[in-house]
Amino acid sequence: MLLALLLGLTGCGADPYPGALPGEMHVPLAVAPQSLDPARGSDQYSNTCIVNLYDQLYEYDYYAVPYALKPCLAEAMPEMSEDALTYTIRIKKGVHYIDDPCFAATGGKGREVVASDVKFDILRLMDSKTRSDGTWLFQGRIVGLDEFAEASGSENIAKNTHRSAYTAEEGYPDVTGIEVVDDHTLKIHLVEPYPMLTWVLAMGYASVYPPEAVAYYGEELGVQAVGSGPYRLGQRPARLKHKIVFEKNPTYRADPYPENGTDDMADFVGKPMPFAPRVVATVFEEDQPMWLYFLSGHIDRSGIPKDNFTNSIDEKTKELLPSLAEKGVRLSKDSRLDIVYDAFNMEDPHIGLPAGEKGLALRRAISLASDIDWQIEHLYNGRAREVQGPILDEFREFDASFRNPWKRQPGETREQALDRARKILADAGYPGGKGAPRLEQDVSSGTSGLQFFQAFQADLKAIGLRVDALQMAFPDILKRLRNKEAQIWGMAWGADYPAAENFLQLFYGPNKSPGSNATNFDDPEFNRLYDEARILPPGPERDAKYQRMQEIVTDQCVWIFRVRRVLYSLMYNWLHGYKYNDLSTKYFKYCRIDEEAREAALQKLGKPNPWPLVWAALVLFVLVATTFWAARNTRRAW
Amino acid sequence: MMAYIARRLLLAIPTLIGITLITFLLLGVAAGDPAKALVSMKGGEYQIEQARRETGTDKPLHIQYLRFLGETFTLDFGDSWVKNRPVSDLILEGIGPSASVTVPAFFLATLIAIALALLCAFYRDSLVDRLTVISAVAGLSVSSLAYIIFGQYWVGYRWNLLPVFGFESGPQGIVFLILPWLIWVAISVGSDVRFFRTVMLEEMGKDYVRTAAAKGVPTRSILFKHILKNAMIPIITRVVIAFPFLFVGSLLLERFFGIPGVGYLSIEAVTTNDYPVIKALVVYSGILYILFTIISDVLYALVDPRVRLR
Repeated sequence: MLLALLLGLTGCGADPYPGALPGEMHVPLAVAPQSLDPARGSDQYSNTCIVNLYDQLYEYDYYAVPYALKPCLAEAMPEMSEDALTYTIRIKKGVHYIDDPCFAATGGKGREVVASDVKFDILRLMDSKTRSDGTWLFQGRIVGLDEFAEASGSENIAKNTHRSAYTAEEGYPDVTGIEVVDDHTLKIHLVEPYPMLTWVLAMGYASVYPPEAVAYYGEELGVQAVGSGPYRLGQRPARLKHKIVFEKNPTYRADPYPENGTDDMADFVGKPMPFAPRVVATVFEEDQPMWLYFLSGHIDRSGIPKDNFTNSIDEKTKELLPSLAEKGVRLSKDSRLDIVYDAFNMEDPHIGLPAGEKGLALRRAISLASDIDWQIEHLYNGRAREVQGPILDEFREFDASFRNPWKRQPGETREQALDRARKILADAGYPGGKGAPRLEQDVSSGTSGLQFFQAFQADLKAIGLRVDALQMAFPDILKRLRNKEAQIWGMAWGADYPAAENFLQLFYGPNKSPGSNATNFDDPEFNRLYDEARILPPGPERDAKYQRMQEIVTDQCVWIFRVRRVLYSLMYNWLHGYKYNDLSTKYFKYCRIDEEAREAALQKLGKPNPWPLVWAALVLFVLVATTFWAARNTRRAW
Repeated sequence: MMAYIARRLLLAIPTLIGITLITFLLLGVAAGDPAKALVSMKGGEYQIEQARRETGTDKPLHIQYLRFLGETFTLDFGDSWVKNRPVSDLILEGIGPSASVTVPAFFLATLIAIALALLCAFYRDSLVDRLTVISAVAGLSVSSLAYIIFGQYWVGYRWNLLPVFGFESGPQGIVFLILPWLIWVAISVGSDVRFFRTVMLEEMGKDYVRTAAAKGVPTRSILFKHILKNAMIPIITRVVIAFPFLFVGSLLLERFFGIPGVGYLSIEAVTTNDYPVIKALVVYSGILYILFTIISDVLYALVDPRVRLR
């Protein structure tokens, strides 16, 4: 009876969005965002929320190929001094924050965005007590900022999470490098040229928010948002672990749909964004519910979980299966701006620089033995492309003719590459791998990490080398990298901005562990070239230096450059304007939902099937009846 | 009884100190420097130093432990290292969603299990008994993940009877909880039935039951007034000791159904090295466990006059 009663309640239906608005967009988040505080939201899921709630000085020209920036809160692109050390940024007039109780002076009405807000936000990011993960973006770049950061960590300054100003009286040094000329003009004075600054000012960390919000909400800013972006939080405080509701910002500035948008939005060019009145981002930590939600039409777009790949994509053509296409699903394939690699600890006595020629031979042989084609086919379901070095084809320094000498060459068979690897080992005194040290690879917990290790192990076995797995959680691998304890490990690096420098800094000596250069590669020529190139503007001189750096790291086999991933995403045809952008997740405002098409499709997709309930009730009835019958015909227990 | 409770509460202090010491040794000593895992690969020595200073892990170990002890006795564990929000707020926010899944499902499962156990014991060795025991063993042999995947796929997606996933506060949220409840019941009822059946059978075999039957006491009275009452001590032990775990939530159910509870929080804290949250969860669980153990002792005395608390 109880079961029947519970199942009877299912008359309520399976609608996961009671009270949804017409045109509302439903999107998935694969991991719960950690924080909506722009200074603290370091993971990509927090960043997705932040960039849609807050404005930055600059933003990605969302549909542009190659990547490009355009002004957001700024009036125009920055004016740069001749020595490239001063950037003048003019801020748009009349842009207001959302209405919020933090604006006590205006009775809760959102005030205008001013230049001093930008200065406060950068200082807060660098404040040691904020513990932001984004300090590396400005560290060593702006005049006086490092001194400020150092002073902010002093024990003489009390931690105040509601701080709305950094004053000299409290012991904070003035940061002359960020000059507020007037309410709408800001000058940034750099220590040395920083060509990436404009890209950095488009990142979520550089979101602009009012000091009043920090004073009012303090730590709660992690679940609140007071920005000037296209959306505001529709449910406050935000429920980061489950469902985050974004509401169209009624006071959003004029922001027309661009001319370079998607074809299905041609009629909307020049019309004010955002289009969706509400966006609901649901957090799915597991693939199965996300996939079922997508198949039910409850989310408008989705990635393809590894286990569901063959149910949705034809293995031969790599195109969408007709069963999904008939439901109105579209497939989009987009290369990610990342590199998946295996790295060597260059300070390791067996495989790094201390091992001299023998170490170099091992690294080169391992690189040659790696069967990237097999991995792409079997471990990525074809969703990856091989890379030759750290300069990806989107970057201007990319040289299409460059071939990594320690990978399979065009026309070379797998067996020939293995022979080359075996010869290198034999020349180094390890014929057939004999006498070579037994190696160790740090492998992250989970089946996926183990699968990649097994492929790596099989590749090494083919040339007579042996490797063991040290399986552990990712934070523990991170600790071992910081301590220079790991020997070999696999990882992926996603670009922060579209510049080869973002990858090359991973080989720069001064960035050694515990910094971002976990390989501890420290080559004088590479370091010199990096120092020279990082302050140069884009141009042939910088291109040549970057290309030489690429030659050094590939020749030394610091990494085994494996692949860059290709993202397959699915979306229903009622979602218009969506295009994947690997560096910007500020896509909510560009998208529009065709509500009529969605309603019609959902009618077909989501019809409840009452028959299982009928059968369950029948089975239950038979069971209960049998029980009573059996009970009546059985002797008592005493 | 009051003296007994006071003595047990006093004894809880060294137990708590033991819990904090083991937790501290595991997290603060054996696990290494947490700052190195807190800062992403993009940060360097400077950021790690900052993290050490702001989390207090730059202090000597004994100072760190004394601080942890202070936090334990004030129940103020400061801010989460990852979310930068008070740990107590995070836990309080999670208790409601966790309890909304676990408490009703737990009582439902316990009631069903007790009823089935009584039925099985009363008609022991009959078809009913054998079928129930076989079903219970089969049920508990299936992995909880299989129940979840089956439930979400068939009940949620294919039959579209209940939401596949989700959580809402208030009465409109009940529909999202039905599937997790049913799955909880399916997962736990098998082992409960087996345990309660054994308890009931042991009671049924006792002389006072035979005497009551011989004197013509009605079956219903024998079952519910005599057997069930005398079987309460092991039932109370099992039920009351399970209570602290209800507040900790169900890791798998919360993760698969997107329920923002304490179980979800604990997984996040472990995977992100959020030590303040881990420490708070361990200490709170320890305190709840101690409290519910005392409550179960007190309940023994209330249901069985032969038990005296000294």
